[in-house]
Amino acid sequence: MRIASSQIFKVGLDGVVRNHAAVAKTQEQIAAGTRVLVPSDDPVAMVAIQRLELNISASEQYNQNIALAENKLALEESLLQASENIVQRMKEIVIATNNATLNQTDREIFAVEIRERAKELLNTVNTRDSTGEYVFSGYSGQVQPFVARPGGGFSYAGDDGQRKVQISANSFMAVNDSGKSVFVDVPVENGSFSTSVASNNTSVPPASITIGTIVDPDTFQAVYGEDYQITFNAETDIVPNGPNFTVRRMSDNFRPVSANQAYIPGGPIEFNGIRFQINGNPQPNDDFFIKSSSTQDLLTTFERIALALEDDGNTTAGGYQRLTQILGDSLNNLNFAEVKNLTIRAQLGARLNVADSSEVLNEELVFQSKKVLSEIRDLDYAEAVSNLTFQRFVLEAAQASFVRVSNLSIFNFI
Amino acid sequence: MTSGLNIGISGLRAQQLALSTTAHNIANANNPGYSRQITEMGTNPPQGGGGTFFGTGVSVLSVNRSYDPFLTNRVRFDTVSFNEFNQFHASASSVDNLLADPSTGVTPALKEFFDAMQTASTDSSSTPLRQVVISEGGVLVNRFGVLYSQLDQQNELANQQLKTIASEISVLAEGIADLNIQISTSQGSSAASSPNDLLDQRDEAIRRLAELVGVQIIEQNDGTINISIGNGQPLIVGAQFRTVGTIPGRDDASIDDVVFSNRTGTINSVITAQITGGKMGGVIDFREQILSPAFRELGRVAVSLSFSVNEQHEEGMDLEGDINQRFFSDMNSSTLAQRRVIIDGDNNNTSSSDVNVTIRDVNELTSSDYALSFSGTGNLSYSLVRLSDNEVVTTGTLTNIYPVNIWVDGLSVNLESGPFASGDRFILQPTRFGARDIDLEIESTENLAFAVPVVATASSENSGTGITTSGRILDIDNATFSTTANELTPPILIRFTSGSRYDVLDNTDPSNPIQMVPPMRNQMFIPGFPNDIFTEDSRATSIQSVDASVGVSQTGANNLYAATVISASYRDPTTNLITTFPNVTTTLNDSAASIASQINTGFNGITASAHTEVTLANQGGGTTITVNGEAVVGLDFNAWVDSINTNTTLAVQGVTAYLSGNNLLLRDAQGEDVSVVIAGGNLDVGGTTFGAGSTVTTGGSVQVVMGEGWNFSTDGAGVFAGVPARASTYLGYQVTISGKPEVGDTFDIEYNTSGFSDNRNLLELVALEDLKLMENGTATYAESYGGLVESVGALTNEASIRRETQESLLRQSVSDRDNASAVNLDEEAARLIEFEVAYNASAQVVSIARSLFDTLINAIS
Repeated sequence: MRIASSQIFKVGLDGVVRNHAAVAKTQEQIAAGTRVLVPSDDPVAMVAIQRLELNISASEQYNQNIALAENKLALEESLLQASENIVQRMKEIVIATNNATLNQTDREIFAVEIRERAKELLNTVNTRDSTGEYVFSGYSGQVQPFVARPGGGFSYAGDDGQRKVQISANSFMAVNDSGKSVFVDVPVENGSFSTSVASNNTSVPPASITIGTIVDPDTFQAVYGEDYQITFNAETDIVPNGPNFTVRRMSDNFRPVSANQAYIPGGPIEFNGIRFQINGNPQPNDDFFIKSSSTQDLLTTFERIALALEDDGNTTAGGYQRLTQILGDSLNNLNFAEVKNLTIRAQLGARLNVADSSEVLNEELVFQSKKVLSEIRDLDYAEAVSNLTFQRFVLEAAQASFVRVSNLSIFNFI
Repeated sequence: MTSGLNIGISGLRAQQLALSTTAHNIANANNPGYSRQITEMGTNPPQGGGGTFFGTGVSVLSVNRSYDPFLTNRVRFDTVSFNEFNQFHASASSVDNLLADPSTGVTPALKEFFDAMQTASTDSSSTPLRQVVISEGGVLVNRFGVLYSQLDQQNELANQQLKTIASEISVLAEGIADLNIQISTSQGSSAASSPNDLLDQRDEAIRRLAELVGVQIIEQNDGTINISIGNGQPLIVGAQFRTVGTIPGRDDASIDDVVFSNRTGTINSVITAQITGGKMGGVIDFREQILSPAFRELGRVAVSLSFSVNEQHEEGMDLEGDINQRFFSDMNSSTLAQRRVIIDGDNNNTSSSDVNVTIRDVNELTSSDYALSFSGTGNLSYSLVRLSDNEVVTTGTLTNIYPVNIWVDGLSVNLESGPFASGDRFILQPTRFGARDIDLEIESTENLAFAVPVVATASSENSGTGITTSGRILDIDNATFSTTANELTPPILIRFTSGSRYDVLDNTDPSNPIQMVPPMRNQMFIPGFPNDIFTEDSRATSIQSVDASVGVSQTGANNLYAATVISASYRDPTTNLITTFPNVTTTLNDSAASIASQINTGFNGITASAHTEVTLANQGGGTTITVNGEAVVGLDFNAWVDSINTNTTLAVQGVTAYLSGNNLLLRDAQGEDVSVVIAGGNLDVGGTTFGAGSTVTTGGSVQVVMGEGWNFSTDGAGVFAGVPARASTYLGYQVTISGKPEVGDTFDIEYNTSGFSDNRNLLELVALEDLKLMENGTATYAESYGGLVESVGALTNEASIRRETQESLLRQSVSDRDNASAVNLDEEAARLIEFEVAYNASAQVVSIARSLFDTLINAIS
């Protein structure tokens, strides 16, 4: 066979160049540690690689979420622990005061401590976390959840919101509990009531209503379940003319219970075993509501114990008996609060458990994905190095033979 | 004797020529395309007579080139293919590298964007975390922009390459045409020998042309060669040739077309579509198979991301309490909508016609371009063709009423104004510029809308165990949110009237919640299950017959509702099939309850309910009444309420009494007539004063609720007197109550004014990452982008393999051709020696002839 001289050089050169390229590619793979440098190296593997990298990144993100969530839950847990301690002390006080040997002055001293404890609890439940959000105000993180009401007691200004954080591909974990669910919706022994002001009242400054207290548990029990509306009437409705109000039973088709009662600002209003005060100058058609409730917030419980202890009537025989009854109910209420507290903490514990197991699962996923990723993408170094050695050998052979062959020429001998 | 001398001289001359041919071969050993030449010798005509012939030496007949047209053709053919794939592979590799590189690809930035939102969800009001979301959003937008500009540079490069290749083709064409002339001239002069070097030059020029573009060759008898390129587009005919150039494309000015033009630059024809093979074919294939799809696929991801993130973000509420704000800039702004349309230069009514394209549904969005064309006379018909598969996706007829909105493939093609002319054509590019157009609109961290603007709360006083979801948004554009900024219109109070019934009330005045318009009273609740409170049918409507709060009170024992003809039809929203129901005709004095029941029976799918309420007021002294024939005991409303509510007959009928201020309300939950007989004094019934002895009958009202597609009409008589107001019951959000609420339990739904720490909408935003929002529910953003990476990778990989195949084929064919035609120096060296020896021998012949001659001369002298 005839071979053109140019072919002899071309073939030799081609061989050298091709082997150079192969060596360079292998070298690049070894340097990068990966088999798939660009998608065209293995388009199917590249898609799998991208998906696996997304999975790994997602799982790592979930674990980051879990770490942040655990911080929040730990803070909530410690606040619940602190409030539990306060409730414990309250129970001691209630037991101590439910004692016939105490005189009214002693009780009033205890009432002072109760109010201090209530402030301590208020501080606890109004705690902000490291980012300045209130822990117990639901979605309204910038709103102080428990605010003092004019005329005593507190009201909840947060909402029911429970924020969630994603902890795995399909599951979310709650990272807060609203103050309402922990401290407000606490069941009570033998029922309770709440007071509120209609939002469209016209008096300026707005007239207020105190949280009130049960002064006669037996009487209250008889009407528990009823809601009342207190409506102020025109001053001309009574003689002599003056501010007066009508109490209507809402749950009985607004039937008047007592009509046209003269109003004394701040004076105690008492009916059906409960007592409260309205302060300020209500205008005609201003409304106040007294509603039966099967729950009572913890701060109101504290305040009502204090109010009961301060009641002047305690010194009478009937009064003392009522006090004992109220304190007995209050102790139960505190027990309910404790149970609620423990329930929520149990939930927190469960969430932390779920978080832990999710964390382990996520780590396992990361590990597995990385393993698969490594199988798909990573270079087999032994193979690559052996390839490189062989390719180098071929390259050197190609270079050597090129030099030898290109030296062959008859012209050398002419 | 002279013959010997002559023979010797002929030998000398022939060997000398052969030696110089060999020298020519050696000299051209490295000249590509050179075919080695061979000196053909022949014996001179013999001399003789008398039956004997004597040789007269040798002469050179011709110098031929060692040439095999088959091998040369194969080299050309393989050159075309190799250069096509080589060019394609080279261009594709740059895009291939670009898309998957961690520092330029979209995937990592997409992930980091959603990761930033994930982290923010742990502390949704934190300014630093919010800032990270905005920054990562910026990085993502930038990534799209960088990719777009890289692709754009590739496009520019492709245009540049086409231009260069076109001018090289033109130069080669001119050269080949010139060689054609020379060859035909020289062949004409001596038919016996061929102009070897000219032929070699022309073959080499053609080979170089084959590197640039696919060529077809037709040899002519006069030695010239006609060449056409692509699919038979004649480039060179004999001495004539055409010039190839580029001009901005007709459908897309950013994509240059290849054109033929004559010497003066007049453009003859666009031949882009006909070009195959060679570098030019490679560039065009790259543009069609990789670059243009990459623009559109990348743009589709950008458009989809921007559109769907915005949709979700708009449903959220920011730290300032505002809703309806975009995260990315508006993909449907009028500028972008118009930029998606290319108006064909030949259109007639360019000034009056106005077409734009807006995005409607990213799920259906394709990555294709579309062509909209008009035809016909009078009322023009239009047809929209999807260019990826050339399918006519929709056709229609214009009525000269604008705007016309054509909904197809997730797009709305909006013909804003006309007229259009027959033959008008528009190219629509919905996603071509998406990656460039995506931009961040949000600027400050306060405006990130991570909260949901509604919040539902169970009242603290509730005695049941009912719990409510916080609420989710169905349609942020509903009047609920837009009537008053940062408020719900109206705020809602849900009040349970029993364990299984509730009223939805307008809580604008919390001290006096009133019925909604239209009312949503007496709704069914299934205890223990999640109950959706509102309709999710955006077209659900309700008709309330007579005023809900006050029935129509008539003297006499009848309600005097006239007979009414009620008709209804239903159009299936998906099939547009219309079902017409037989009319329902009520008879005189039918009660509201009976009418409702007739509607429910007659029109399967419409829900009608009835309700009666009558107000008693201004009780005169000594007035007593009977209700539905039952005597009511007592002298005042207080006593009447007790008497009515304790009457077992009335309880069975569902009649109850309530005190409302100074009035007494009588209600019948079933919507039966309520009959009051007055005795002893006056009484206002339903706003009219009646005297003693009157019998007053109050008919109830009927409420009709229907979903999308229903048409409901009446003759306006009886209970439907007056035009029934059909009003929407769709509030644009949903709340679900579960558990077991008890009578009197209430749930408030209000604007989430203080919900700064609410992360519900943020979680919805985060969820977008894993939702298969694209390609008919089959791909997430990352998967759709991954599809682009994969297809570019696969094409590049395929090109790489084909390039290697073609390279070895080309190497083989070049080697075959060279082995046959190119110079082997050893061979030439041997020939040198061979011819030298022969030359020396011929010289010896001359020398011997001379010595013979000398011998003879000496013998004579």
